[in-house]
Amino acid sequence: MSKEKNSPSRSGAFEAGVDKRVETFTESISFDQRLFVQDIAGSIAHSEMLAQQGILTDDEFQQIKTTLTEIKQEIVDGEFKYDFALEDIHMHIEKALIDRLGDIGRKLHTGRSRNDQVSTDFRLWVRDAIDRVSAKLLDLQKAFVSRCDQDVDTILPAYTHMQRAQPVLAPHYWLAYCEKLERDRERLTDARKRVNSSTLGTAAVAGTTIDIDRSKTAELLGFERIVANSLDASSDRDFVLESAFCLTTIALHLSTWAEEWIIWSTVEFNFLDLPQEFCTGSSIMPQKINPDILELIRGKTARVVGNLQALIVLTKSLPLAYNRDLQEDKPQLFDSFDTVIACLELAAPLVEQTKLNRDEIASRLDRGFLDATTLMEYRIKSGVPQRSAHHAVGA
Amino acid sequence: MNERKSLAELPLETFQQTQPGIDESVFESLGVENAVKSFQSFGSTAPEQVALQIAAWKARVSD
Repeated sequence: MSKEKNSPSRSGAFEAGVDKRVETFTESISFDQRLFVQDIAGSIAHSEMLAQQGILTDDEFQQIKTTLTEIKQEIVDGEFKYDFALEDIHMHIEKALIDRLGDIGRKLHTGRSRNDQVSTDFRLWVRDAIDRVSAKLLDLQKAFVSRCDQDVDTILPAYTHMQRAQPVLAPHYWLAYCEKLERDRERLTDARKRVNSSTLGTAAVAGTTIDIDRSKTAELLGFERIVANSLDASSDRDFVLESAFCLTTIALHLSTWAEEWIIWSTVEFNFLDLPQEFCTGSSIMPQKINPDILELIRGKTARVVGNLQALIVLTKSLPLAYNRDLQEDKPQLFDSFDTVIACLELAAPLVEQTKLNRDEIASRLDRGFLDATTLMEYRIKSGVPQRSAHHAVGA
Repeated sequence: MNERKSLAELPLETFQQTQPGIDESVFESLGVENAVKSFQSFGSTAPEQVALQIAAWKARVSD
């Protein structure tokens, strides 16, 4: 068994190297490498603050900033080498810095810990991701609104209990989804306020004896607030749970829409024709044009719901403050963001390009007594008590 | 409501058998077009209400 003293996070307290199996088991670089932009931004802000405080010289700060910027470009260009022995994105970047700058690089981590570093990186990433999802939600709302004028004279059955209930104008349906998506956007905007709080400088758990300026790094990174308690900062993943919940409601709304349009596209309903660019065929049945994209949007909702469940259970009963369990927060939340963004990107053109079969819909609107409630209310307006009118129309 | 005819296709007499006092004006509420036009409440599917919603949403999503 190879046992090398190979992890830079292992201090002089260790006499033995890490077991290779442990390296593989504990690594997070395979998924947290996507935090590199945020990690480098956080480190540049941190070093600028250290220079302001006289802990680094201006020249040292400039060398760190220049070198971190070069490292970022190497990662963008695919030239940066990853190694499980370096555990995570933070250690990879810091090691690369030290390899190039020596002792100047070794000063970067002054007054911070990976605990506040990862929290800062993840908050920055989630903040950007929330903005991306909000923009995609707006695109989908625009797609629904763009249909309204062309469909304004089309009447559709509204359903309750999946039984024909009352007639509604097609835009009434489209705007119902706009309302749901608007609440989704509002939830994200509200969650973003709590995401956008700086934990940088809370260090491992209790703060630091170094004279740092947390306000400065918060300002440089665009954070609106500073998390007030280092114990809270070290342990808090509320922002992950909230984001995961916001993404779950979006996925649930998309699943409702997808299910509805799958049903509406059946031969039995024949309310709409989905654009063929967004359908697939069958390998055996030549007549089939399948609504796979809608089915997958419906199906991928399960992953988003499952990720929320996993994150809730992950954080349940964790004692203060940081615990290694929290490393497991990233795969779930990354997946929820990726999944919801992918679904939204396909939903918008599907909504825009689907055609309503107006004649087919109209030809069957007289089925199902969609006007029965209107008749009942006509009788109420003539002075008949509601319960009496309800009974009489039903007869 | 067990017959396969729509309400708008029924003769006035049929309504009058179960609902005394009903007159020709009932037909202004029957059929899906008339039914939709009969809605009045805020947020309903009345054409005027839907037009207001469309205008509001166009303004809201415009850049």
